[in-house]
Amino acid sequence: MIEIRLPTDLYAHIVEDLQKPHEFALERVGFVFGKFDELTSDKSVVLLHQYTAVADDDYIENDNYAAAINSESIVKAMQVVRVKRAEPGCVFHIHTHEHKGRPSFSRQDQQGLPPLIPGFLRSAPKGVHGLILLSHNNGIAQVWRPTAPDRPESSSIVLTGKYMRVWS
Amino acid sequence: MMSEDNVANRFDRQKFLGGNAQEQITAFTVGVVGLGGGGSHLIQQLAHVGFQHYVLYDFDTVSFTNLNRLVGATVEDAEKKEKKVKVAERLIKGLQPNAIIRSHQSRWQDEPEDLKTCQLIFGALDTYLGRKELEECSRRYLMTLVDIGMDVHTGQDGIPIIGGQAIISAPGGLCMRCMGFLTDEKLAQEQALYGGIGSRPQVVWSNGVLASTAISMAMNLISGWTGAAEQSLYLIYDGNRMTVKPNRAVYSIQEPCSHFPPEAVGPVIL
Ligand SMILES: [Zn+2]
Repeated sequence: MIEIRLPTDLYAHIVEDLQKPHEFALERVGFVFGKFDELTSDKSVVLLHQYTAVADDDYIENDNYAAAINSESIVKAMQVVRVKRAEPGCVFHIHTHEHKGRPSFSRQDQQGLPPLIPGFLRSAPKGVHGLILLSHNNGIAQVWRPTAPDRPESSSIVLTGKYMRVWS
Repeated sequence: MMSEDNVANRFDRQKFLGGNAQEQITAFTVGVVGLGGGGSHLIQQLAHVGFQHYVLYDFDTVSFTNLNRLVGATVEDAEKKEKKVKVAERLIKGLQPNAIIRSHQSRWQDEPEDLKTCQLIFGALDTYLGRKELEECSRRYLMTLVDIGMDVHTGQDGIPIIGGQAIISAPGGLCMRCMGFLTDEKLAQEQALYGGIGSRPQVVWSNGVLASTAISMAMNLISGWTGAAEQSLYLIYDGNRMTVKPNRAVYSIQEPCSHFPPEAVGPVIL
């Protein structure tokens, strides 16, 4: 099982950015970075520590997706994680669905987002990578390991810091 | 076996913690490092509250000198020099028979991987160095640390003074150095004593106050039941006046922690 740990101050920063209105995009997205450590035979952790917003200009007008972004922004994200290739760096695409309770990936999410993963895996082959989806008070994640690029795992998210929550 | 009804009714009296508080309690893995006077009280309360996943560390065995304060230990344990982790396991299993417990009769530094699987750790250690190392690990793995400790020293009039503290050191927040609790002077003084902290005075009632304080801090972190915007991070116990009060000096600290940069997480790669 993989557990994603997200400090509450980083979470607050991410939520603040994702909630900002955009000129035409219906949703905002971002990239959050972390380190991976395989602790025991049954538990590994992703330790998130940095967030990069997608710049306003990097959104593209598109009728199929609530938030379409250009490849520039993805390249920028991969540069962040590529800086230290020796480290087990992780990159996660993150966005929000506007409701309370446990969210689930939409059909568009399921089609549009997994194609990002092979690029993440190539940029940082020692880490795990994936997708995080937030609601107003909950979140879910899917994680791809380099050893199983075709089989994503559902992961729990733990908020840790000023307060603590487990979303499993 | 406990019936389903009994299981459901067990936590009736703490429902005020909120709708899914019990679910949250069940989801956490808690670590307790040091299962002596302070740690044994922590174990007892964690088990009553309903935690189900534990990681325990103590290299020591029960002796007769422990019996003035070691919750759960018996004369028989002292006679047969029972492991302190076994006493803690028995205490937990008596209340939570299905609990999953990973025990280590060792220093956590010798077998650290299980500790890192916890989200919340309690430190009940004797030394400043021990606290420093535990805090370093807790920050690298984004775990929240609740540390307790007590101390008896002699005052000016020759009267014993009991003091203690309960401190939360959480990712992104102030650390024990920021709060002025861990200092180079204290660490150097301790080292000069050759780690020879000797047989420090310890009493069951002070350990009980400090453990209760730590658990109340942790329960608010998990459930937010008090609704308070800011949680007290550093509570000072005065065993002579019999009070627990916030360390006011901590409130005036404006700068964020510079000792643990956000990116310093995960394994140390050399
Ligand atoms: Zn600090």
